[in-house]
Amino acid sequence: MTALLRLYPRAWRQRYEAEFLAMLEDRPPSLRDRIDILRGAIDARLNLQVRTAVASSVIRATPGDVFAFLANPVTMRIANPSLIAYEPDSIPMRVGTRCRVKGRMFGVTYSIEHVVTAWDEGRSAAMEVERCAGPGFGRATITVLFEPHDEGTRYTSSIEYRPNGLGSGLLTTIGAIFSRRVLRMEQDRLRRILEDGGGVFPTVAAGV
Amino acid sequence: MESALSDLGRFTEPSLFILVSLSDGPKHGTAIVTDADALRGTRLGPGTLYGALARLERRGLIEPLDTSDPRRPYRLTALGATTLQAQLEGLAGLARIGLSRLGRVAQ
Repeated sequence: MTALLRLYPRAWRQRYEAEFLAMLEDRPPSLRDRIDILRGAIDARLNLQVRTAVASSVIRATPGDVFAFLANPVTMRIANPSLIAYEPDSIPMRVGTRCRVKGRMFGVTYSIEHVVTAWDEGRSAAMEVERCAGPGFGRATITVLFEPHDEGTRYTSSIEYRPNGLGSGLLTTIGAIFSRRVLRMEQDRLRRILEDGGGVFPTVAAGV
Repeated sequence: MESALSDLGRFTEPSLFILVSLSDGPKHGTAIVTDADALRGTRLGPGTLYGALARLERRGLIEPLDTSDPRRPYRLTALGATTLQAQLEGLAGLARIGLSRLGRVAQ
């Protein structure tokens, strides 16, 4: 069995091997299972091209306030000044809402169209990027989580890029690096605005 | 209909069963696979299970619990619960329409 597991990438083995072996101990693999493990190894190697940009920070505001700020296209653009346009086709946003986004960051213009696939007011949301022009060509999933924290809210945002063709692996890598910086900048700015007004939008911090 | 699971290819259906399996509480790999086998009626392969778990974890739909036990449990996140609910409501709607149309055909 260890010979089959050696076919998996090192990063995968470091993360999953112990629990994978424990499961195989509980349920000895059949011949079909062994073939499935081989397919899993090929899949894990192909999936190495998936890149994820993640940023997480604690903001001294309630999860509901942070969520509301980002769910509003007007205040969303204040949190992320790189946005040129943020146009959902329904307000309030909900599952199925399509949104056209245009922005400019580090001198590079990008435009994406995404559709909301999960929307849990004040707690979480997810969007599938259907079209993207700019760094990070390919399919992508955006998720935002708002978890209660002793000091307010832990806000985590992530973008998972998946290459959709030959050569797009490099572009997804660039996209992920680019996006990580954008997410961090957005969170820093959001924290400043919601915690002390940041000299940018004082009424929001006051909950108006 | 676009959904958070629709682009997972061959992992879409196993992912849905994993989310359903975790909907009543955290489970480790063996417990998930046993439950999913009972729900699906066919055996879920270990390579497929972990391919799906890795994708669901990366998307923030499930998360592992901290433990020193190699049988590490996973639980549904808030986002995972919302996604599962939307997915099941979509399937329920489709089932209602399909059953209703079948009824018309039978008449």
